[in-house]
Amino acid sequence: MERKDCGYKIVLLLFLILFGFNLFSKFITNEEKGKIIVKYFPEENDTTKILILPPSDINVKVNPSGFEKLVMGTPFYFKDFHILPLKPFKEKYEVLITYNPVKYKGRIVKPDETTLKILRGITINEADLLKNIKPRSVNEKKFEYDGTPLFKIKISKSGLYRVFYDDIVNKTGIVLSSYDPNCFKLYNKNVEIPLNFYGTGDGIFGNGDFFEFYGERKSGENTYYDKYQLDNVYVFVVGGKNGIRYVFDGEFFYDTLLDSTISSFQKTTHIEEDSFYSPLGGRTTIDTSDLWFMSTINSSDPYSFDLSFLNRDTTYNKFYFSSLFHGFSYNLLINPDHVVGLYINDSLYDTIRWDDLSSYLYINDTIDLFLDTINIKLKVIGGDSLSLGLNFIEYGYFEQLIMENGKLDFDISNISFGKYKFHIKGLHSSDVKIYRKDLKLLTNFVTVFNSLEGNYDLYFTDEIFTTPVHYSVYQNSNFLVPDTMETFKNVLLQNSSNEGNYIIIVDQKLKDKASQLATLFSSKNKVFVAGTEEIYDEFNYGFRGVKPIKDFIVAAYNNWQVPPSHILLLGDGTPDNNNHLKLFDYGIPAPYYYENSAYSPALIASDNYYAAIVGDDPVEDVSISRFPIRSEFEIDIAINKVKHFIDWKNSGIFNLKFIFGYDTTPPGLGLPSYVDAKYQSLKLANMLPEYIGVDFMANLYDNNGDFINQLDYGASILNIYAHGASQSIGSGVYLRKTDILRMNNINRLPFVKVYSCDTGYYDEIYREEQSIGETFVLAPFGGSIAYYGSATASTDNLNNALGESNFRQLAYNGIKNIGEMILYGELMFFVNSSVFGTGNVDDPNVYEIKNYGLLGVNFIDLKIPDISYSNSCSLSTYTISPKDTLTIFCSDSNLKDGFLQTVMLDDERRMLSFDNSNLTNGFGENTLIIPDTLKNSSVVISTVAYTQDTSLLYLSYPSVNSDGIKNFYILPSLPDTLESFKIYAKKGGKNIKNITAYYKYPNSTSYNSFVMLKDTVDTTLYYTASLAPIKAKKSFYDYFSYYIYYTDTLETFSFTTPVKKILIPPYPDVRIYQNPYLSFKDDAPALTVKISNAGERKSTDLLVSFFVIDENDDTLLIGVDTVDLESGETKESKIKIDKNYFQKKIFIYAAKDTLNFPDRNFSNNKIFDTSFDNIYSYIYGSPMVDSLLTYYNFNIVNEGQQNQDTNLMILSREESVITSQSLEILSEDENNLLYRIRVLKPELNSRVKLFPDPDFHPSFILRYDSLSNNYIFVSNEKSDTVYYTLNNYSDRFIIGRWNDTIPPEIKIFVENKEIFSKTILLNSIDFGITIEDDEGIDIGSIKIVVDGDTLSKDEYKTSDQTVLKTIPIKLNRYLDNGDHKLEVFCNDIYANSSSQIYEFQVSNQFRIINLANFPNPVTGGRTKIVCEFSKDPENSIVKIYTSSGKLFKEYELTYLKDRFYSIDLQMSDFQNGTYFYVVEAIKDNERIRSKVQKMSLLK
Amino acid sequence: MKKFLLFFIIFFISNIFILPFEILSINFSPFGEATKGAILTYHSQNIPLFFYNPSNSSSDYYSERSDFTVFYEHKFLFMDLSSYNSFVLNFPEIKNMNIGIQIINQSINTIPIYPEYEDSISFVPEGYFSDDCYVGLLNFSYQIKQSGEKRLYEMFFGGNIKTILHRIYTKRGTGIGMDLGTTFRLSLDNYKLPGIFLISFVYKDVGKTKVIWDTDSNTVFSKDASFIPSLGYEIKFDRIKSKFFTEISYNVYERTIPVSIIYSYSNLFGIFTGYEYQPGMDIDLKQAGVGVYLNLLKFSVSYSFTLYDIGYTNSLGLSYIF
Repeated sequence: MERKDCGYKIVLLLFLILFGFNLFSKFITNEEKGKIIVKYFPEENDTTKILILPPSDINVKVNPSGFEKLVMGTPFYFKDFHILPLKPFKEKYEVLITYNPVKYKGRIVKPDETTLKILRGITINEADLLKNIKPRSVNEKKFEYDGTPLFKIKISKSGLYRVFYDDIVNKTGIVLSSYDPNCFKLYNKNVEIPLNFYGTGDGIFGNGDFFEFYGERKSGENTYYDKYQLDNVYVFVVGGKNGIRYVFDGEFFYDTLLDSTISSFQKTTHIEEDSFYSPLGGRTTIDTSDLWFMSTINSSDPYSFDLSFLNRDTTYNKFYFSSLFHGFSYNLLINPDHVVGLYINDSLYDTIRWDDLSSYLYINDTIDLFLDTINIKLKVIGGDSLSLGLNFIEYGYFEQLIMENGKLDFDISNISFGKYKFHIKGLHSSDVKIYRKDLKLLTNFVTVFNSLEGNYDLYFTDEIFTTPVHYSVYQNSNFLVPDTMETFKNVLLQNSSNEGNYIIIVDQKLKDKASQLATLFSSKNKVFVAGTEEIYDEFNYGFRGVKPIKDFIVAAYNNWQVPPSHILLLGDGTPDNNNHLKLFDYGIPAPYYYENSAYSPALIASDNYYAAIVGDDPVEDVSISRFPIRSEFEIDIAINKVKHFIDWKNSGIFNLKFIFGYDTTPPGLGLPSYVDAKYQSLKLANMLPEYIGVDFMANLYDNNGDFINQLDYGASILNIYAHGASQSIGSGVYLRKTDILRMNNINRLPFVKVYSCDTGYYDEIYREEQSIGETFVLAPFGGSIAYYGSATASTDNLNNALGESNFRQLAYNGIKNIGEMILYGELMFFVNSSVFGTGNVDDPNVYEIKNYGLLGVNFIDLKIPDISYSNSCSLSTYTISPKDTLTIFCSDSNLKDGFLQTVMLDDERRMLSFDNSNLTNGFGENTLIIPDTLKNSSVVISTVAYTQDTSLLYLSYPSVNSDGIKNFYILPSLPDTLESFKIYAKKGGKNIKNITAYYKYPNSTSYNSFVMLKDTVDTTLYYTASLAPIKAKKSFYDYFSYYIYYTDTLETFSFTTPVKKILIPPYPDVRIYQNPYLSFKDDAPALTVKISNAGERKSTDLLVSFFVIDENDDTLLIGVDTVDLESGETKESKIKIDKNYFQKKIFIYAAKDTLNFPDRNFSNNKIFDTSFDNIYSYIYGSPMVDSLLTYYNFNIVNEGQQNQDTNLMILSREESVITSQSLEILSEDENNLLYRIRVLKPELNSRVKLFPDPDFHPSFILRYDSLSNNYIFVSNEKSDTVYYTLNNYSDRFIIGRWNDTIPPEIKIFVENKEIFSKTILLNSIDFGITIEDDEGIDIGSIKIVVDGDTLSKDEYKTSDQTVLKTIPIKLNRYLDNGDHKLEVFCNDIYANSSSQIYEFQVSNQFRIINLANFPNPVTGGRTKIVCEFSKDPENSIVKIYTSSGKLFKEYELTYLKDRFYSIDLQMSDFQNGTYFYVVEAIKDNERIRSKVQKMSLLK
Repeated sequence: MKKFLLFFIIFFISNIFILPFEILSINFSPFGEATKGAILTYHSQNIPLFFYNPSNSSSDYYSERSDFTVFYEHKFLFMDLSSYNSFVLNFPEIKNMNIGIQIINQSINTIPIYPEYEDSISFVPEGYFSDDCYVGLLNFSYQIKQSGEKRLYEMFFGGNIKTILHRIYTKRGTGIGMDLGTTFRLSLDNYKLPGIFLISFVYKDVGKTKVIWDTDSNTVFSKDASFIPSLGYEIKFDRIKSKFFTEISYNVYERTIPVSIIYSYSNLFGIFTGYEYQPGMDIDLKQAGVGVYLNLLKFSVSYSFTLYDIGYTNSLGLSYIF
């Protein structure tokens, strides 16, 4: 072969190799449809599991099928996987999944190890993940401009704009003279705007040339302002085909042709100044389209303004006025909530009324117009409103066509088709231009000097076809000039060659600065910095918004060579997304969610929107963070912090310390306490490895914690469960914004996690109102490296679960990267909180998690070492005493330079002492100062040696030789409730003397002292005399403080123990609140009150007495309930009642029955209801009657009296919140079918309507009939709606509701045998049909069709009864040889329909009907070949062929049973593989042969 | 160039051993199905069929194999009960050495799944599965030629290393095997006789080819070695631009005697037929095959038709030289 010929041959060879490889890869990966069977076995305390499935088309079935809705959640995507949540269940079941195998460019790609590791923690079927992965889909967006976009024109006012060549050059640097002006175009979004050019007759758009266009201001979809941008953007494009130009219209109509002359137009003035934002809160009916307001209006401060009607056309004497209000409050008992008076010139003109937090648009277009100026006043004159929000004012009137400031824009809409003349006054010269917006430049007009006014009148004519038409008449010198012109960014962000696992999105102007931040991460990552303008230009025609940013992220995720796994939004986000307050210029828009929690504002900012990429679920697929900078300086803060953090030497010294902060005190009456926060903190601490020092800090009512000092000392993580607000954390205000700003821990930056109210916000507009989270990350001299805040409203169950799942990633899955910790923690939270189990994305949990804010820098490694083994420390002494100094030596030649850190932990894993030092050549030394007092129990000395590439843990357990005062205490332990008490002290082994107890009573400013006495038996025990008891107060906390002073025997040194404080809580404070209401106890009606203990101690055996007061005001005891109440606990106290106390006076009293008991403090412990106004209704169902009954959600609607008034309030059993409609019964609720109903106007009869949720139709309401102890249809017929009239004084048990969705089962028999063959060998056939349904079959619905003919009832035999659960049908037909079809249809009594179709062949010829081998594939070395003939053959053989088509074996078949012949084939001399076989048979000289069958052997 | 070739050889070897090939129980017939078990019969030097004859000998007596050859063949076996694909790449000859690579696949789809036999049997399958088998072959051959312009004889020696992967349902069998072969071509000019005489010995599955299955019992199957001696004779009639080639061989393992003949005109087109004679058996058309080929520049297209007891088979082959 000659070398010179090689080149093209090699290329061809490569091509052929690829072709061949590709061709064969198809055969190699040509998998059958995949099948997965997952078996579920019930376990106690089971949690939600997930199945990881291929992301292709899947079909999931649950066996038994009835469990499907109970066990299966809604599948969702996470990082390209298809994930199916399975709820815990008490019975075993199987999940059957079939799917199409997934390939990515012909290969099956494995998931990354981190994802696999995490998902394995919560999956029960991880093996399938290895085999399948969803390919990222390429979704490049097409370029939508005809040509190349060069620059953008931004405008904020509507009008005619003139753009000069020079201006373009000056503002953008773009020289247009080199382009063909014919192809210049201007786009607004994807719509081309007409242009008018001047000076391009020479074919060049050059110096002095300009163009004109009509630009419109930007407005929102539903509102006056766009949410994200105030300026409208027009994009200038060159190239492509010719652009649209204005048409020149030189026609001028004679007066005789005209329909009329127009000299006025309807002018509308819209006044809207968005000056403040109010997110509102509470109700789902709120309209959230515009929550920016120009003013508040309240009863003492009306909103007043003047409307000007200058130049009005006096032939019209009405004007139009409109105003949009928003209610800031609501009260169900006041109707309507808001009453506003509209005053015109101080006279009440109209009253505006509406309900709720909703908005209200007032429109009146018939107000008399009689003056040039009219004063309007809006004043609150009723309702419960403290204030209202005013969104805008709009008014309109007919104004004469008079030019102002050389411009006149007007719309004409109230005329019909015709030719019109326009008369415009007030021109200061005849040099004028007239544009009609829809493409026309009117060139033929007349100007006449008006000597009276000293100016010109203008006349032009036009023919109008459709209205409205818009005209702009401008003096030539008064054209508008664009505010801004900027170059268009053609970056091609979605290009597949881009790379960036870490994307930073930053305002365009700060991109260079952000690159400095990016550099810090680039050693380990591909960092991509994207400017906002680049994104907006490519993805949204230059417009700001959240969608283009999301589109960019999605495009990067799907298209890029290295797709993003982390996104950093480097810019603040606020509700002022369009920046009309002009407070900051470098923001990244924040997406908003509607939040319906009663605690929280209505619209909540959350970046979750950006990161949930795959699927339509809310689970993030990449981690996302936001560093809320507003200036270049604040990027410097970020840079500075990251530099410090990633400096290994600086960061190493605080790795061992985690701080758990908590707050257990309710912030106010009626608000939840955070008792659980303490236990949750302990739980998290116990998840951590042994060597991590843990400190707990809490509010002043628990152990004191000095947060700031501790943080300054250094920590890796600060985890806080506490009450919070935007300015502080903790009800005791123990961590305030000002504290954080003062922090100087720049080398010791922790990751701060706060689970609290309001700390997750990043939607404050003003810096001084920024959240705690923002403060932490923006603190210039310290604070935190990153911040994670949970939901806006904190609830224990969500915060605990969220915190725990996040921590689990750190402690168990070894993830030290903040972004991944959050990402996977949230996934686990989503799964375990059964968000996807509900099948309802509107689940409240979803809202809670949506509203987190992750602030700060992502991708930071927390540097918690992986310790693989442990050694013993070398200690200076293995016996330690209080106040000792302990030295820890490390000498290990295997180690190099690094750090040595030591913590001493007590038996509660609390950190007692800590030190760190350098490790040089494997040698280091730490010094621990032992605390003053030490419990005589185990301590752990934990030392970790760090080097760049090694972490080594040493553990030792020295014994404690406590000395001095080992322990001191008080007996009895509750000295405030008894007569007296003593202080005790236990000394250690050394000789000490002068043991004196110092103690201070509450309210005292000084300590008392007592020289302690030595016990005669136990010589190490000292005690005081009996001291006066301490009395608890009724409602205040008190402390009793004491400590022990002692000296050594030489009295050289004196020692003092730490001060102990005993909290003396106030007495229990029992209160009854909320009027008595009905609930249920053991499924029976019960009279109930809510009773709470506002004190700090438990109250036991509290008696609650229920009385009824008769007409004579005599009190009659109905019943007594006994309750125990923990501190802060609220309970229901209830007694069963057997009659209705409707309209009776009820009196309830709670008190202890003994006067001697000291812990009593009752306030508001009585309640008196003058008119008990609840009756009860009993929505009743029992599984005893029919186990197939299924109870679904149903709705109760107040059908009350006229106008849907509020006579009835329907209340759920558990909720005290009153609601008027659409209650849901929770299936988990103990008494889920019980409701109570409150009547407000007893004198009126009222009705409720009960009906099943439409999702569960058909289902019907049944009534319980106590006589027959059975369920019967209401009114003897099935009905899905029941109207139930409430007779006020009677109580009734009513309605059960059930539903049957299981259709009847139909079976077909031939000759009394169930069919398994499709051939019938008789011509006269006896068919048998059975129909079964547990609820009953609708006999009338039975339809039998043979070969398309519907049989009449007399052609078959069946039962005469109308409703049966089992029906046998007999039918005889004579059918000729050939193909036939028998169809059976029927319904059950609930209209569930079934059908059974049997297609068969009638034949009495000799033929082979069926042939198969059992089993196949043959796995046990033997198989049975079975052949069904239509008639018994004289001889039959089976021939077996190899897969190469050669005859291999031949056997004779033997008789098996009626027309069936078979052979038991021993395949010992067969090799594994697939064989073909045919059967040949003879009867009456007729020879037949079967089709070729396939059989595989697998030994 | 050598490095480049070496790179590709390594690349292909690595691919062959990575890819899941498996052995078939089918005996492949050369050149479509039509020549019925022949080991020497082929119409062109550029259709490498070393699966049948590992010596990979060329039919063109005087020229070197200086080009790459690719050959793709698809068979619709037994009225499409099964499908067969083969892809062959033959490298140019370097210093009398020749290397070839072949990938073969046979698939049988929609095999029904049935459970154990019970009295109430249903002939409706519970599902379907497939049988896929793959074979990867790496062939090395070497030829000894007489030096000088007029070469009177040639000797070819060669061997195949084959990897096997057979997948049935969810189970896999894997194996490796080896074939050896030699061919001697002698020009009869020296003896004043027309034509060329060929003798060939093929020793397949040397030392038994074993396939190990991942079934519960880890069954091992072995394919016994087979020995096939063959004689061939080629004669050209320059005046009518025609060439005849005929072959007779004996398959010791299967005890069959394949006979084949090929006629070609001006190296442009040809027809061929074969018959696999089984001693003691009657003549049966189902043991015969017939085919045709056409050469178009560097392309070659062939078609053959064969009868089997369980249905006829169509084969289609394409080759390209470059």
